Amino acid sequence: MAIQWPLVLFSLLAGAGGAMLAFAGLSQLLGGSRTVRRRAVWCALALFVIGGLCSVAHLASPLNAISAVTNLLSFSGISIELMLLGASFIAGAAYLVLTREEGRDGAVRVVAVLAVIFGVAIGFFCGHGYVIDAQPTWGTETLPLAYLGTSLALGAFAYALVAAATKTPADKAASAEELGGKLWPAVLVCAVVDAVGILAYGLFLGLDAVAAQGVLFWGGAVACGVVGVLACAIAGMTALAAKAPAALAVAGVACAAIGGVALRMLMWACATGYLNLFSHGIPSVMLNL
Amino acid sequence: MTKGTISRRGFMKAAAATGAALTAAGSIPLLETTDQAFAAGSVERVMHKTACHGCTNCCPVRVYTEDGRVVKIEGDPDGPLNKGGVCLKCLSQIQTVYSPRHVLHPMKRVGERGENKWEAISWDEAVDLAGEQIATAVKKYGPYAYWSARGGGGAYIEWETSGLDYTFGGCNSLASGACQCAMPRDFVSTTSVGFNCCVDMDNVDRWVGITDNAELDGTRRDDTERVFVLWGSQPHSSKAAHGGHGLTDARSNLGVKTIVVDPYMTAEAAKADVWLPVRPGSDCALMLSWIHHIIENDLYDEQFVKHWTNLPFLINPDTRLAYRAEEVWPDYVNPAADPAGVYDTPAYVCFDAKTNSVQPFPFTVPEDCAVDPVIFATATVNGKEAKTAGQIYKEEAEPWTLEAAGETCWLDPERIREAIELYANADFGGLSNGVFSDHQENSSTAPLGALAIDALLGHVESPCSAFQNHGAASRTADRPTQRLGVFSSTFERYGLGWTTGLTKAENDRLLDAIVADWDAKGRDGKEMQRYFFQSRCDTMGANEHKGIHQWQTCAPKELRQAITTGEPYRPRVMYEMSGNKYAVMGPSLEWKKAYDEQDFVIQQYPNMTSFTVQTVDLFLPTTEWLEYDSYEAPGTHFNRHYARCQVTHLGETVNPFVSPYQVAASAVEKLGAENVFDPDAYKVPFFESLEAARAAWAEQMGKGSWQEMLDDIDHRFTEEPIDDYMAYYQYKEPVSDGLPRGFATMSRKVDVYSEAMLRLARTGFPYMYPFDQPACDDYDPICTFKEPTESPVEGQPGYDPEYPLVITTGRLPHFHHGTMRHAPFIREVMPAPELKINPETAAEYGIEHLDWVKITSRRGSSNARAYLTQGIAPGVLITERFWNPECFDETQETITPGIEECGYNIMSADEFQNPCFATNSYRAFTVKIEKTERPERIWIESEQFQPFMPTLSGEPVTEEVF
Amino acid sequence: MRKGLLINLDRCSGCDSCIVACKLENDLPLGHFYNKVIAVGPTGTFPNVEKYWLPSQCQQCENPACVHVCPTAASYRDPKTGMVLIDKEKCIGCQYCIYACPYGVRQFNEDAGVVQKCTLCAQITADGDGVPACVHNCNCGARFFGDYDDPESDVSRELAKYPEEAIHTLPDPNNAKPLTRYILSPKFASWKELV
Repeated sequence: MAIQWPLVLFSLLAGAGGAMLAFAGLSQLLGGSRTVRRRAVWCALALFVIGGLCSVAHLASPLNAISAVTNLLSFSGISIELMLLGASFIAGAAYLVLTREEGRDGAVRVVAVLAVIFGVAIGFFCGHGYVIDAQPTWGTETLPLAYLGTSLALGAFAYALVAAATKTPADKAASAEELGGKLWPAVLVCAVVDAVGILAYGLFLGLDAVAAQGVLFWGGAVACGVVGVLACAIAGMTALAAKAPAALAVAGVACAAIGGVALRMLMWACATGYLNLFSHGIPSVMLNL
Repeated sequence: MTKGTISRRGFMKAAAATGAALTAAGSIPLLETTDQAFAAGSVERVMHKTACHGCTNCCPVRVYTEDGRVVKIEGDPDGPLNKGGVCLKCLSQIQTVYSPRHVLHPMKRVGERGENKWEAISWDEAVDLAGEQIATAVKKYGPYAYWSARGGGGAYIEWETSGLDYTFGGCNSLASGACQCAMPRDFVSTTSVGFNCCVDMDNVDRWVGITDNAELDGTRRDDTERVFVLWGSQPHSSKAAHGGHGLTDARSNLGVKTIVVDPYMTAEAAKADVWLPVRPGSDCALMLSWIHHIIENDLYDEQFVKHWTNLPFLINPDTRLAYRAEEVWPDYVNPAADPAGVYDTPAYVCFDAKTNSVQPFPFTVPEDCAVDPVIFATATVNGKEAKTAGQIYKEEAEPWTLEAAGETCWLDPERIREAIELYANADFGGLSNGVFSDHQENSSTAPLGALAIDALLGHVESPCSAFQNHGAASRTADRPTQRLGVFSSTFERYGLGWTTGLTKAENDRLLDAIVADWDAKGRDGKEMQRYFFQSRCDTMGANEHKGIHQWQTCAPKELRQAITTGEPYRPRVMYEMSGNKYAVMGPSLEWKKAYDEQDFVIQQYPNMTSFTVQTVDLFLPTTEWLEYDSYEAPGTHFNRHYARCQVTHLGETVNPFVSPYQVAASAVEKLGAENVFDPDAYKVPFFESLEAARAAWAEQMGKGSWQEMLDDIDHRFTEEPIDDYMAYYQYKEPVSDGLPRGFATMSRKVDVYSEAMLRLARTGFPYMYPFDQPACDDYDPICTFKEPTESPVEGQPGYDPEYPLVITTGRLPHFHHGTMRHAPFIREVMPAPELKINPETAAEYGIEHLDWVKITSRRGSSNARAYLTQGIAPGVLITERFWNPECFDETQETITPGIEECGYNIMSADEFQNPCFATNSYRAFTVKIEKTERPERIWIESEQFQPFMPTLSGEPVTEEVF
Repeated sequence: MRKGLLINLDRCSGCDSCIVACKLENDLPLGHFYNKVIAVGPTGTFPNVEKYWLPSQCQQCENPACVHVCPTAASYRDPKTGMVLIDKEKCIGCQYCIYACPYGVRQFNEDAGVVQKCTLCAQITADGDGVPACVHNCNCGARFFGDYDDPESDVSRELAKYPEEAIHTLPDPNNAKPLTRYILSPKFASWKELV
């Protein structure tokens, strides 16, 4: 099937935005810099908007997005994505509003919990909409797991980048203090989910199928998305994290982005349909049955 | 430009004066006049009824218009065979009638041939120019300088060209069909069974219709076993909604079994009970094996063969003709002789089992027969060893055991046995001899073999038989007669030709009366008769290939060579009425040279093709079938004959039966009526105006007027009562002489042994009577097998390892001959020719599914897309035979004939032919193949066919020009 | 009521007439199809082979996946007739129904921005009288249209002529319940699952 670029970008950007939001929520709960969190949430909101615009580009007409919104209660895959996108956006916006000034801790904590939940869920459900019987190569929960993993990895490194770019009052990178000092372990957890998701989906597709898309799978998804992401995350557990947090985060973002895009491209490229009768061109004939 | 009633004949003069060159892609400027009736009012959908003319089947259809514009075509559910079904050719007329290729005004070439530059001219100017060119050539070079071409394309005009030819005394009319379609089978059935029957026209429809309609409730009335043999016959392609529908009904509703003999797994073969994928060109060997097996195993219908065929007749070894009783017993009195001397029922000679002696064998009721004729016997007659015709056949078939046929035909002998026994043991059966044989060297011998099989089994005028007489006309009161060459009226017009079934005295009387009629009109009747005879002798190839007289055509190869060499004379001005000749005539590159030699080429056709661009000097636009009225043949569906009734009319298109009249009248005027052979000849088949044509057709339909016929919208057809239509065993019914009717043949029986072939070769009988045409070598009177001249079999003289593969062709439901290549929705599902090839063979050449393949014969090369299939034997290829891609539009700087890209007939051969019918080798020759790339100008993607999409649907509905 | 098509493959000769009839009736441009005819085979090895044609279009599922995934209810199953249709006014062109259709018989119309598929010629059949163009014009009388719940309908009567082993549906991986039935008698060819 043709690669649907708007959907590739939407699911990755929105998922990554969700992950950043979730990290911000965790930071709120575990401790960290308010500035980092607010900057990250701003970034997440921006990703939601860009991602949302991408998804609109998939529709025949941008105005059709209104129809999609007005039919939210259909609980189709798309409406769940839309609901989560909206919920995440509202959580992020609420967080920004509530944290304009100090205080309101109770409300902020509630919002932070919601941000974690929505932020993780959106990454998963952007992939879950594709789990349909008519597409045998999508009919697996490893697919949304891979969507979630790649989203988390990208969002995690992006959060680490924001943290690295934000100076503490001591004029040091804020990274070390984020998530109560557990930023890099959290990034590593995300990287592991990412690696597990990608490899699990690859295993589901089977070696023959992924071999047919060798560059996408081995190069994009595995080399960058798994090995690169894991390498950056593990490096974050070393002294490098303190020495060059920004460089590490940039490398991680790059690997995770490539891996995330490659994984999604792979999904479209491997889509066969169940009995894709109109895929037979001219002359329409099924040989070698 | 003013709106209103402008005379169409004069209108385009104004447009032409602007001198605008008109290209094919950009259609000619629209007329601005509007038919007021259609211009006013709200959009109301009006239903019309007519019959398609996309092929020879003419399925009844319902057509809907809105504001005069055709918006929908659908099959008429009242159609007795199609029952509402119509094929994609018919449906696509809605695109082709409004196609940018549909020409609406006469066009005169203004650039060089091939440049596609045209000037629109008025019909007056066009008719004048055509007449001038013909008259000039006839004046300067004589009447043979003019020739015509017909058939094969849209098939609107067939034998009628002869009326035009003999106006001037011309004698060459090239039928794309005839030699290569139906004429050989027509000759065999007409001379051997006495009528042109289904076997001649691939018309499974009729016999399938019979089985179906005899059991109208759709269930079988008895448990008889009924079996059809489809031998190289493809009703699902050639008549998809017609015979194809009938065959389906027979198979599915009535449990009729089928045997399919075809090299490729056609739609028919896919549904067959037994499929025999015969090697192309080896059919006669297979037929002889059937004949051998039927005789050896006593599977034949002994009573039928004894009394209703000429197989028991003893044959004179010197003349190869059956002995007449009078030759052996000079005083013999034939009890069947007509005392009035009008009808001829000869008595023959047989070997009688009752007396164990040679005895006279007169025509009698079988029960009253004094002798018990032995079918297979050798006896002494007049002191010579003579064999019966049956014995001659038996000996010819003797070598063709199942094993021998299996080896020669590349078949499993056991499967051959299965097929023969299924057929021979059926209660009722019929064999459809498809068009396959009309495309190869066996065009005369294969129909004889098919006839022999059915005659041996008694499948003649029996339920399911292909040899079926229909209608009241065949149920004659007297001994039935048959005049050959009736496809053209000219033999009769000039007093030439023998009527079978009449005595010599009666024949002479009839011919003398014709001569006397001419004398009475102030012409020299004898001289006209002699001129006509001489011109038939002078017709290209007429001496070697006398079978061409059957449809009054000429031999293609001899015509082609005469044009290019000037020997014995050069035809120079061509009036073409059939479409893209590059597609339908082979070898087409050689033909291109011949067309290039022409002084002037007039073409009448509804749409322009690559042939128009390359070759035509003056184009006369004729009607598409939605603009067409007619009651001419074809148009039969079971017991009905449908009229075709105009639904719309665009621009200045003219009914194809009218334009030749106008051209001929113009030429006669220029030459002077006193200077042409027969100044009225063209008035017989053609009409001065559409009104005149309608009046004539209405009369044929038994209606007071065409309008009266139209008014009864649900009965735009004539109908044969069902009881007359389905009268079996008509040969057994008694007639005026107290004898059974028999058959309209020389013997009044089925002439399985074809004396007609021998007489034809020796004197041109029956066409040339009372004259003798110079003799040529005898044509085989029975089915014989000859290995094709180009053979794929190692060790055969025609084997050449450079060309190891044998190729054949078949039909598709998508196209009729060269037509409809400009229908966009057809082309998007069949964009390019497919070369069906066994994967094993393809692998030898490194060819994969849908690779392009260059196919090369000794004549030339063209291209097709490989279609890998297990439905064909290794070493055998099949493709559709009439490709003309027509892939040109204004984006191309030049326009090619298209055939070098995709054109099967570049490869076909005319250097080896059937001797009797001049049938070229369109099948069963050898080729080599190699992988190649898609030819540059060939479109294969849907969107590429955009230049074919309709552009004329906004055209106003116009009135007739003539 | 369950209105749909029945296609008798014993009768189908693969002539492609239904494709063109459909395109003309529904005014589909080049490259667009509501139906296609697929040659299945020949299977086996020459000369022991078999072949049939599979005319393919929307299978009129009773539990249609396309309807379930549609975010705007543009794809719907008419409760009265059982016909699965697309309301083009509602379709936003998200194409999820294309991904969700197990048979791949929907197409995206780029120009109109909506998904399209066989409508059973609703413009003809809506009033309960007519039959789709592909049925009307079928050369061999292989296509039937009608209500599977009505024993007197064309589809029910044709089905009744055949034994169970000759009646097939396309494989149904997840209970989509395709309504369209295909008749193929074993004497002509064995039914292939195609998956």
